[in-house]
Formats: sequence, C-alpha cells, structure tokens
Amino acid sequence: MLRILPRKKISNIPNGLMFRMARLTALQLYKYLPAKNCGECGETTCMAFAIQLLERKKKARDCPELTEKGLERLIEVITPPVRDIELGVGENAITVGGEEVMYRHELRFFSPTPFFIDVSDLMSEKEIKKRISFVEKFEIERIGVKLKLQGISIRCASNDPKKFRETVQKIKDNFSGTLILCSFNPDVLKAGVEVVRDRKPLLYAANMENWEHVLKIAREYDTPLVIYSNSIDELGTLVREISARDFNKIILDPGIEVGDSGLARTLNKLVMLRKSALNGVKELQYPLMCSTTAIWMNFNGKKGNPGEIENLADEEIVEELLRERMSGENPGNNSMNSDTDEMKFAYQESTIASILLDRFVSLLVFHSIDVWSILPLITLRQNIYTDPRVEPAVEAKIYEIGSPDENSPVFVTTNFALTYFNVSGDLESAKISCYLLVVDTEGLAATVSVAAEKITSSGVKTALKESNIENRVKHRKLIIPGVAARLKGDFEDATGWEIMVGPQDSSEISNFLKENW
Amino acid sequence: MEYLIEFYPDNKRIKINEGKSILDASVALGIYLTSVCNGMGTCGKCRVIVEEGEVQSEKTDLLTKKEREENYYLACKTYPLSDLKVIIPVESRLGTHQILEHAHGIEKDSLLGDEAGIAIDIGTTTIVAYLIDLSNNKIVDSASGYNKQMIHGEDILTRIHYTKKNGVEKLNRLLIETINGLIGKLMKDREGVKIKEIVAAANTTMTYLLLSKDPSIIIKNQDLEEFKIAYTADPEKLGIPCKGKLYTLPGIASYVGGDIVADIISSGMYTSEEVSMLIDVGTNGEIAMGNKDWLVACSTSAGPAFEGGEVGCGMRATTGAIERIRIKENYEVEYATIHNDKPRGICGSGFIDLIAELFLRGLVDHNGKFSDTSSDVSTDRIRDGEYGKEFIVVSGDETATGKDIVITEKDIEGIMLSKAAIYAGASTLTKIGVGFENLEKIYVAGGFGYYLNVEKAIIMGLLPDLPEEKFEFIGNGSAKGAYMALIDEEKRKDAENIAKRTTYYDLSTAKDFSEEYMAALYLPHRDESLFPSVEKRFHTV
Repeated sequence: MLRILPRKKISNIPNGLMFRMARLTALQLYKYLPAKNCGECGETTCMAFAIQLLERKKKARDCPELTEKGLERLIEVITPPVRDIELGVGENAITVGGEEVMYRHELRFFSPTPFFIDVSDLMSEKEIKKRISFVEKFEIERIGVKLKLQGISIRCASNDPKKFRETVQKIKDNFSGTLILCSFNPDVLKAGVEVVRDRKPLLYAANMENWEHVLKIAREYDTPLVIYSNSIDELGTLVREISARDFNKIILDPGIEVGDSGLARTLNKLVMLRKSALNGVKELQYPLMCSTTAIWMNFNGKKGNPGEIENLADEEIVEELLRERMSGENPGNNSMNSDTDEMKFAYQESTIASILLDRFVSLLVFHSIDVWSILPLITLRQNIYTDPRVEPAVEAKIYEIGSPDENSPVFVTTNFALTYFNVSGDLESAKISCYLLVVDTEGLAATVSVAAEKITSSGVKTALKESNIENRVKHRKLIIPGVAARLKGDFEDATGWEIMVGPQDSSEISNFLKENW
Repeated sequence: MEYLIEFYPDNKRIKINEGKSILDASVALGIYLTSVCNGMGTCGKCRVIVEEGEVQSEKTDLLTKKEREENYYLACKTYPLSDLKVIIPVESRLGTHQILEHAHGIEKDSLLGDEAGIAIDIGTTTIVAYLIDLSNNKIVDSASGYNKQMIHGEDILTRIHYTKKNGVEKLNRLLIETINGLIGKLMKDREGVKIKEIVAAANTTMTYLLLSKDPSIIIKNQDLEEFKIAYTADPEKLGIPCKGKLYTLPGIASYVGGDIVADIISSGMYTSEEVSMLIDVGTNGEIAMGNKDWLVACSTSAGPAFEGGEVGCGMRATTGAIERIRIKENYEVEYATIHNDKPRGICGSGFIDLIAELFLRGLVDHNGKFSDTSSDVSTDRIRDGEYGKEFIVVSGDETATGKDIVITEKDIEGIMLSKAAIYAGASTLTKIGVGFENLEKIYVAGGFGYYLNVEKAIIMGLLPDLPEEKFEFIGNGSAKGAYMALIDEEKRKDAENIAKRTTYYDLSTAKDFSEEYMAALYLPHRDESLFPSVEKRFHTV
C-alpha cells in the first residue's frame, strides 16, 4: 500500500539575507578527541589530527582511541551542512556533496561534481557500447590533472524490468565504473540493482508516490538514494519521512525546468536549497543532483523545436516530461532529425549544465557525448573545485614571449603560476622578445624554491635539455632570477652555460637588459 | 696592493691599501671601536678577532697568550697581508653593543659554592651564556658574544648550504670557539670552580651544528621526530673543556627549535588553563599558542628588516642607532639613540616608532606610500630621492656620518613585509579556534622584543590590537628557559613533553596564511575594524 504524503510546507527556508553558520575550528574538534597524542592515526598529536580532520585529509574513523559513542558524536559535529554521500565502491567510490559554503572564495568546494553519461535501455547495443567506450576513454589533462567522466546512468525507458535487467547486465559486463539506476518503478529498480548490488549504485528515484517501496530497496541493497520532486516542500517532506526511518544516504533532485523563466526558477530553487542547508534546515542538508537529459525530451520534435522551449517552463509539462523520461519515451535515440538539431540540443545542454555547475549541483547526468559539449564543463568543474587558497602551478617547459629569434635572451623562472604570470606579464608589457624557461619547482615561488632547494642545477640542466633551447639560440647565456644569485656557480658548473644574474624583481628586467644584453 | 676587509657582525666590507690598519678600515666604514689611546697601541681596547686571513701585527703585552691563540689582535697595530674576515667582539665596540643578556626576573649575585652550571642561548647571530651557582641556583654572571659562524653567512640557510660544500666541522668549530670564549670569560678569576652541567637552548640548526650533526635534513623536512630529541652529550668530546654533561633542549620542528621550547618554558604558558600566545620576533618569527592541554607552533619568515637588514638606513641595535622616534605636529622629528650617541641609522624599534608616527601624522597612507603632496600635508622633509620619495629623519648635520638618515617607500615596504609575516603567522594560528581577544596573554620574546613599544607596534599592525596589559615581555626567554631547565630537572621533562605534544603548524602549506599575509600588508591592516584603537586615534587626531 502506498501512502501519499500530504505536502508539508518547510517553514524555515531562509530568504534574503543569509546567516552563515560559523565554520568549525580545529580546537572545537580537538575537544572531541581523546587528547592522548598516541600517534596511532599517523599524526603526532591530537591537535594535528583535528587540523587534518578539518581539511578532510583524515576521517573520524582514523582515530582508534575513540569509543563508539565518542566517534558518533565526532561524526555528528564534523558532518558538513551539505552532507557527504558516497557512491560506488573501491577505487571507483565517489564522494558527493560535503560542502560547507555558499561561495567558493569563503573556503573552498570539496567534492567535484561527478559526471554520469545517460544510457537508456531502449538504445541500440551499438549506441550503448559507444557510450561506455566514451566514458572509459575520456581523459583530458589540464594543469597537470587528468580529468575524467565518473560513470554511467542507466535509464529505464521501456518500463520493463526484464529489459532493464538485461541492459544493466550488459553494461555491468562491459563497464567497471559507478552506476546510477533510473526509474520511478520499484520493480524496475529492484530488477536492476540485483544485478549490480556489489557496485553500490545510486538509485533514482523516490518520489511522493513510490518512496516507501524504493526506500525498502535502497535499505535492502544498502545503496544511496535520490529523492525527486520539483517542489522544495515535497523534497523536505520526503526527506523528513525517510530520514525518520534512519536512512540518510540521500541526494536531492529538484528537477530542471528550461526556457527563460523556467531556468530562473530552477536556479532559484538550487540557491534556496543550498542556503537552507547552510542555515541548518535539516531536511535539506543533502547534496543536489540534476540531469540535463530532460533537455533532449522534445528532441523528436514532439514538443516543438528548441526555439519554443519556453513552453517547458510550465511545471505540469516538466513533470510530464520527466515522468516520460523515466517511463517509456526514448529521447536521444537514433531517429534524430538532423545533425544540426542535435548540435543545437548538445549546445543547449552544455550551456545549461554550465549554469547548474555554478549553482551547487553536486552530481550531473549528461546526455550528449560530443567532446566539444563536455570539454568546457570539465574545465569549468576543475576551476570551481580547485582550492582557491592554493596557488596552482604552470607546466614546466620553454615559453616564447613575443617573437624570439636565435639572439634572444633566455630567462629562467619557477613554475609557481603567480611567478610565471608576473614574469611573463612583465616581459610582455616591456615588449621583450625572449624565451622563458620554466623549471619545475613543485609550484613554489622563486625565493622559496631557492631556499627549499626546489630549483637546482640538475633541474635547470634537465629543463635546458628537454626544451631543446640549444638549437634555438646561438648564444649560451642564461638569465636566472636575482634571488637565485647564490646558485650561479652551481648552474654554470652543471650546464656549461654562462649564467647571468637577473634583477630581484622582474619589473626591472627591461633596465637589466639595457645594461647587460 | 689592496685588501678586502670584511667586518662581522656588521657584515660590512671595504678595500684598503697596504699599510693601513684594521682600525683605519673600521673607521672608514663608520664602525667605531673603543680606542682610548687613539691608535697608539697602548690601551688595548680595540681588540678584534681575525677569523680568516693573514696579518702582520706589532708585538703587545696587552693580549694574553690565550687571547693570541684565539686570534685576538689590536686593530690599531694590525695590518692585513691578505683579504681578511674580522669579528668585532662586543667589548671592543664604542659603547656597549646591545645583546639582550638578561631575561626579566633574573638578578646577578655572587658565587658561593664551587659547583657551577652554564645555561646558554645559542642564536644564529648572538650567543648568551649564564653562569649559575649550583649551591643556590642563582645566576652569578653572564656573557654574550657574536656567533663566529657569522663569517660564513648571516642566516641559517646560508650556513646550511655552507656545510654542504665544506662539511660541518668548520661551523661546529667556530661555534665551539664562541662558546668556549664565553665560558672562558665567565670562569675568569674563578679558579677551582667546576662546571657540572651545561644546558643549551638553540634553534634546530644551531643544535645540529653544536653536535656536529649534518643539518641538511632541516631544509628538506619541516616536521621530523628527530627534531624533538633532547640530546645529552659529553662536552669534552665536543671540545668544550668541561667535565660534566651537556643537555640540549628539544625542538618542535625544523624552524621551531629548542630556543622556542625554552621560551615556552620561561613563559609558563604550558601550565596555564587559559590560552596564551608567544611571539618571538627575529629574522624567523616563531609563534606558539596553547595552554596546559595543547600547544601549536609555527614559524614565519619575517626577513631581517627588524634587525636592521635590507633597509637602507637600517642597523642593528648598537650605539648610535635611533631607537625611539616622535614626529611632532609641525613634522619635526624627536629621536633618541642608543647611548645618546650621534645617530648612524635606525634599528628595529626605531622603525616601528617611525612608521607608526608617519602614519599617525598622515605622512604615509594605509598602503605605506607617502601621501600626495597635493593633500594638506606639506613638509620639506619629504623629497624626491634616488629611490623615489623619501622622508628625512635626521639631516646630515646631526648624524655621525654627515649623511642624511632617510626612509624611502621601499624601506617602508620592506618593514611592512616583515610585520605582515609576523602578524599573519599569529592570526593564522588563531584560526585553530582561539581569537586574539580570547588570549590570556601575549608573550613577546627575542632580543628585539625587549625594546618594543607596544602601542606603536599596534599602530603599525605588527601586534594585534589588545590592551597593553595583555602583552608581557619575557626578554631573552630562550636563555631563561635554558637556565630553568638547568636548575630543575622537571623542567627538562616539561621541555620534552612540550616538544612532543606541540603541533607544528606548517604555514607554507597552511591555506589561510597567504590570505592573512596579503591582508596584513597595510597600515595597520586591510581590515581596519581589527584595529579599533588605531581607528579611534584618527577620529580624535
């Protein structure tokens, strides 16, 4: 028997001015620790452990001295206002959410939004294989980090448990990563999860109608669960019921509405949800997900062309569309109208997804498998989820400034991004054509890398060799930063080049060259 | 023939012609030695140590055999035969070079028994030793001098790099020589007194060099268990003539050494229920915070500006250094120098006064730049100099050198970088969870701290804006801590405990530090609300 819940108004949703929750401090956490400085956790003191806990480099469980009750209390304290939910197992495990702030500059965002590629059980085997291989092969290296896609979201468009089970089995056999199983039909979900229970897939989704059945499945198979509703009140109501049954592995999907005012409403909802979480509205302290697959719903032209998409702003239609998506219709199959239309949709999906990424979406299901539509999103994700408090490094290699020739000077600097941009900026603004040899100093600035021996004669030698600069300039003169003056002799011995000690400050390079070059 | 003569600890050099004496060279540099006989070779006051190089010297009875062995010469009658490295000992300087020998709460007394102990604070620049009467645990004498290692570089990093090429032996020997020199002074005329024990408080590098351990690991690793070891050694094996034992206070991390543990011991902050902070101001600013349950410590690279380095008119706190400054409403400058000598430069405490006063008078702005001349401030003390705008602190007709003493924008910037590093280090530590306002006390240590004007230090944003009574100077806390550990074995256990339980907070990877540092690069701070007392002044001025 399904119980239809009355919609309860969530009364304490903040609007307007936000009262930010104060961030925990290491000292607060320290008070929950045994203060034995036993060192079992790998840190020498409990305070060091508290600092690492705060930085999420250690987990509460890493402290063996805590009693069960103590651990529980500590976990309660450190649980971030947007809870962290784990999907998948082993090396494919993904943490979703765990966020503490509204804006990145306030602290940082912790868990990069995982990207799942949409697959439906009505897609051809060829299409499914294509999508699996796309997810597996996708890899882009940027600022020294390999960027990837995280998994596959399997949607039951047939509403047939048997068909779904077969598709899940097929994907399981060909793909080792993390999965999402999508249907509002509990029988379908159960058929799917049975096949991949050891993967701990994410179940999508409980709603006002099916929640008791879906909750039972999630509990039985110990999987995390998505709660879907496009109404915040309903989301809150469902969370209240489900968490009261001692289930907390929840991700919220508030749905997306496209078109002018629809998109605005979606964004408002996302902002409201995050604000509520940060303000301690217990029912809404869960990570958010969105699926831009919905944008493809009217791809077949049934709902008009993308130009008339503002129709979709109507809540009813969106509901209908979403239901359709989960229960039978088959967007994105092979009967597409034309390449141009597909491009329009992919373009729109990419645009909307980028907005969602900026608005707290902690998990994204994406339909398009065009590299050009995913690439900007992957880059954006990296930008949003890097730690703004840590300065990044640039690639260590030879850079050309202006249009250097065989007589142009060669400068050495470090790969700390700020140093690099300062030096190259100064060189550019002084209109100096030259080569800038960036040596790998583990991202440390010039003074520090000299002190910590990150810029060494062997490092410079290697960089010289790898850059092949010998064959690009006639001279054998290398200009090193003024702060590295002490290393002049070392560099000369190691490289055989004449070392010139440049100015302390790159803004003086222009004058330096006038006098010395 | 010309020879290059380098003087330490001044770190000044000059080329002089053959036939000129070392005294001539020092005078030419503006380094003044005591010379009662005015270079006749009869008073024996202008003693210097020739650490490297060859000299020709007239015979004299004014130096003992032992002194001659230690390469002491009379500067006025000694002539270079090669390039030289010369150390000027404290006693030879005109007036007394200020080394902070005394910590607060220690009084000298006379020796009763025949068993003595030595407590020694080994700094990168200066070394201070106390002689303790073990029958009553009183300090009966003290001595101080420059670390002879100075000829191989002023800062720790240069010394460590030196050992890479030349081994540890040389620096170890120079350090032992310095220590022996001080012990020699303390034991002079005390025949029959036996030194039973020596306790040393030193930064990690100095501890390693004292024990002939390779210090190169210090630059590579910040946080190692071995830095927390308290060593016990046989002084005779190290070359110190003493039949007892030598104990070194344990450190916390590479740049938070036994000297800071000694500071913590002498402050007593580790026994208190309330949370306190300790700031040791120096080239490396070390900061510790905590109470009887927990302690954290960090090290911040402040640079030598407060010790007179890297600033045009900067000098160490020696004779003739301006240590106090007031700018009057008509922008005239009142100043006081150490020993009321003619001014030669400005030392750290003088800079703090100067910058605070320039700021209060509206001569420099929030960014440390001289205010626009178009504003209502007008004084001919601000002029365009070789390095941009500068403020004339003392004009040439009053100074010892005849040259104007000026401060440039670049100088101000250098000092602001230093103060920002220290303030940011302290404010980063408060992120652990105790705000400045909740601190019971802030202990200020280091040779520099003794002369610090708290009010001015707050105005320039070096120290947090707290009531003056919250600050307590412990002077040379390191020497005092060594003394406490010498007379009380329990304190050694405390020290070892402190070393173990203090959490090293690595600012180089701390996420908040760079933000805090950038915010502190203003007068007094980017966020003026953190300095309400300073803001209030502006409303009343």
